Amino acid sequence: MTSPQRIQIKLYTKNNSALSKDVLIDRFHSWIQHDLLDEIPIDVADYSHVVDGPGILLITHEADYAFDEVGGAGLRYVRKKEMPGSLEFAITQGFLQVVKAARLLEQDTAGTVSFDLARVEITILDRRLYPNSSATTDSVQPVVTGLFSTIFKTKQVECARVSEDARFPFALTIRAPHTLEIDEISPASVSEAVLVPSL
Amino acid sequence: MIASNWKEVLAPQTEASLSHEIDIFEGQIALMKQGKLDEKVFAETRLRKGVYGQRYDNGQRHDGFQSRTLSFPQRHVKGPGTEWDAPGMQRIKIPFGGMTPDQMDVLAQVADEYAEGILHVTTRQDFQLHYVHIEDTPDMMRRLASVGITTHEACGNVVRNTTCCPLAGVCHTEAFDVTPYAKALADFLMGHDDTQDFGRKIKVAFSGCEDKACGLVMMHDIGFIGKTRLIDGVKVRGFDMYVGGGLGTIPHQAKLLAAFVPEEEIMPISQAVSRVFARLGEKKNRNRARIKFLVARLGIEAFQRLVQEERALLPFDDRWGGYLEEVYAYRETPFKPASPLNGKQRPEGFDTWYRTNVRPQPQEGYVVTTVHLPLGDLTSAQMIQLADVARKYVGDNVRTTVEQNIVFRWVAESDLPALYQDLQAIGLGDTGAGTIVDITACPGTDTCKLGIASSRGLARELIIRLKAKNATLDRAIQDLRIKISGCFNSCGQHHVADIGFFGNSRKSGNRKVPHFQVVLGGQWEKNAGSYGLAIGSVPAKSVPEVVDAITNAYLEQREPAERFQDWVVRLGKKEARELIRPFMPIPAFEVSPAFFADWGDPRTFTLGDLGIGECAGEVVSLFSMEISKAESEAFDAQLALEDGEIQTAAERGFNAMIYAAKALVRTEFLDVGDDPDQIVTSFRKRFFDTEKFFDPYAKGKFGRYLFKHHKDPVENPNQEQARQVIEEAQLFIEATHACEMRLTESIQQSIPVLPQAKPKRKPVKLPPGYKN
Ligand code: HEM
Ligand code: SF4
Repeated sequence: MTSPQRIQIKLYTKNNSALSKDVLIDRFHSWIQHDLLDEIPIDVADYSHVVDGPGILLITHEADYAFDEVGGAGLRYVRKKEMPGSLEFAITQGFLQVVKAARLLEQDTAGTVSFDLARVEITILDRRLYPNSSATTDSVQPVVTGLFSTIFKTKQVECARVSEDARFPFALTIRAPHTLEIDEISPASVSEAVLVPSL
Repeated sequence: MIASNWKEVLAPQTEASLSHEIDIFEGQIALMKQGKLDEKVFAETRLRKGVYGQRYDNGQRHDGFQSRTLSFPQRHVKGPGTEWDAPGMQRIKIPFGGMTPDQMDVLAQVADEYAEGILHVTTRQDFQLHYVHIEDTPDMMRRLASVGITTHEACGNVVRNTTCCPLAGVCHTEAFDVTPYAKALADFLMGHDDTQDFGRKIKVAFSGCEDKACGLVMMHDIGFIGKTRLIDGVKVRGFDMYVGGGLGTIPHQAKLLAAFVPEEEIMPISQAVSRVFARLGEKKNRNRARIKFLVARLGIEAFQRLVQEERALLPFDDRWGGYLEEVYAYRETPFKPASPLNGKQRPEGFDTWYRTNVRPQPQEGYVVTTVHLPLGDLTSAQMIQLADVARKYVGDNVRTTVEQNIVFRWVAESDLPALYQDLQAIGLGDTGAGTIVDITACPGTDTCKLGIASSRGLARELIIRLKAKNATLDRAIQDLRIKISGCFNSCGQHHVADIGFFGNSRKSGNRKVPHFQVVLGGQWEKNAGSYGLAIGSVPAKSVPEVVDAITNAYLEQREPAERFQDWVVRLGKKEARELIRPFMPIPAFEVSPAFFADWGDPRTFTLGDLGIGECAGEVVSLFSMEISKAESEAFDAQLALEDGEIQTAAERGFNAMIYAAKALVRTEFLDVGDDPDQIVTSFRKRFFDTEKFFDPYAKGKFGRYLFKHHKDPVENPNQEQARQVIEEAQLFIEATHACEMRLTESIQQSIPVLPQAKPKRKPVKLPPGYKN
């Protein structure tokens, strides 16, 4: 399956713990100042005034990182520049990036938040290639279940479509029977999931 | 099967003219990427499609310690000093603020696919998306066009969105519903031949009455106030027409151009104003290029006379009166039958919301409700859900407002409790619309290249503080309006707020400190009838205390029922300044480092990120704009040829020649129109027969290509013939460039040193019904 124009992956915090907007704004600026990102950083945007909004964003050329509280507090990675290759590759790369940022946020806030990887939400922001339909579900769901079964090393991964309203982007919630510690995830462990990344 | 692109998917449901404009723009993007278009021309081209620059798009950003280069991958630019890859702002035009639920759905979808999932309602009833990549814009425009929304002429030196009172048609004090007039004039002026050669933008507004805030006519370049008169016992409609209002650094109140202009004259007179502005308006110094400066320079009487003369010379256009059929057929249909609120269960919080967000309509049993958006923002998901709420209660009767909100009109009163609950469920049940917590702010340093201080940061902070104590505030304070701009350009309309602020900066030692100038007592009513008084600057971090000091003083000092504006006038500038004087000093950095950073931004404050504004782009000649369309058409012809679409390639090659000829003809004859026969005839008469087009070597050779293809279009061309048409089109385009250059050089050389006598003009006979 082809890589979509945009893909978003969200990880949720344990016990729905959140961070204040001041802390987030401060941390995100400091990530820019200290060159902690793989992407070209642009700015920090504050949407804390919007109910169920995108929260605080760290905007980069290739992707946005955002901490928001929609459906639970968590960190979102939105890949804006199309990844070369397959959908599987885009998902695994996106997952690695968000895990990496989550690890950074955990360290950078001295444990105020930590992430529970047993729940992951993937949204494909490309209504032309991936309309929110049952056909898309039929084709994408098995791929995603397979990927995350490998990542979590269990067959018990559940994967459900978030909304059936075609106006919303196609999204899946993945639930695993156990969390993974962030340190258990590495490029090597994830790339097992996509054996031959079709670059 | 999945279609290969949005163009293919949406072609059947998109109006051809909108598609065509987008195709041209896409062609220009491709040309620009190959370095084949001039930077300034491309910048103005994209601005006219609503594609704006955004902060840091010069590739530099101060991170708080040092200025850094943003090393974007692509090396080309999208305008002078504007990096191609830098994210930008997209403005989307919503004439008179009117939108349907289907349009709301699509707006939501483009916002989450191409921006960061936020839609921002602007102070001119538009939408804006931020952080958009230029290469995504054609697809975005196609998706919007498929539901009848255009971004065409949303920015640039053109006629911008036409605004209109959001209560038009459902208002107690209006003369009549001005909506269909606003819509018709917006359509008429968009892309009109007479509105393409301005030194700056024109903003048009419509009002249904004089006394209320209504359409804010007095701060617009061109404004209309609906009036009726009894003529021979019949109630007749007309408009008082105003010109030369505007905010910005030097705000001007509009002046009456003509009283009671008949309905069939609003188009030609707007056209005449446009021509006068295009001809005499300032083109070099953009700080003095708006109509307001021209009106001030000439005086309103002279301006009136010029407009009348120009009006008399206009070639007749049957749209002038033709649109009235649609006006009279225009009806807003209530979605549900009227019914009173009586006895309905009132959910918690409903009464407060009812007081601030609901207004009765003159039509019994119906009300207008305001969906109060914090800082004008809502998410894509909220927009989709809001579209469904609209479908449930009001259908198509939805509008954006210049206070950055959305209104639902024709709500049946008995639906209010349920509507309130539905809005609350999607996070949009905020109370306080039009009160002190409903603060308007321009984008400021969040995204604007010209922002000095953080207007949105300050607004966020004030909203939090004021909401916390709103319930305990006196009604007189609750009903005040606060508006904030990030710099003197006044996009946040601070001149017409009770309490307004605009960003500036001051120095303390070697450090810069963000400040806001305090502007008191602007008038929102009477169509923005007077502007506020600037009383002094205070550090950004002191503004919340300043708001408290001002509101407390007003409460203590006001006479019974004295309005805020009147109190400010009575207080006078000197006393008002005394009020804020205690907040002016800047504490030492060591004591309060927070004063040296802006609201919501921990970086040390700097002006290093200020860029060059694109409030109107560069002034680019009419010829440059038009010839760029010819170039993009020739480019598309080439692409068609490569795709094996031989017939299309040949046709587009010829179209490119027609566009180029038109570009040249319009330097002398604005009204040439779009008819190829007319264009070719005019070109022959004005440029070929006069030999102006001839160069010393090729003489008229390239002009003959045009005549040849016009007379004998190639039927069923083969690849070679199509290629030849395109090559000849390119040579013809080059020759028009060369010709225009020769002509402008000779004009410059022939500019006389002594002032010329003003050419005499014929006395003007006014059209029927046009009274001065
Ligand atoms: C010299 C440059 C500029 C001038 C003089 C200017 C002036 C204005 C004025 C006077 C208004 C609002 C009131 C009216 O309708 O008259 C306005 C609206 C607006 N302008 Fe500008 N502007 C400039 C540049 C910009 C730039 C660079 C941006 C950002 C990219 C910008 C963004 C806006 C926005 C967003 C609005 C609507 C405000 C909102 O609701 O967010 N302007 N402009
Ligand atoms: S007022 Fe200044 S800061 Fe605000 S949008 Fe306009 S130009 Fe930008």
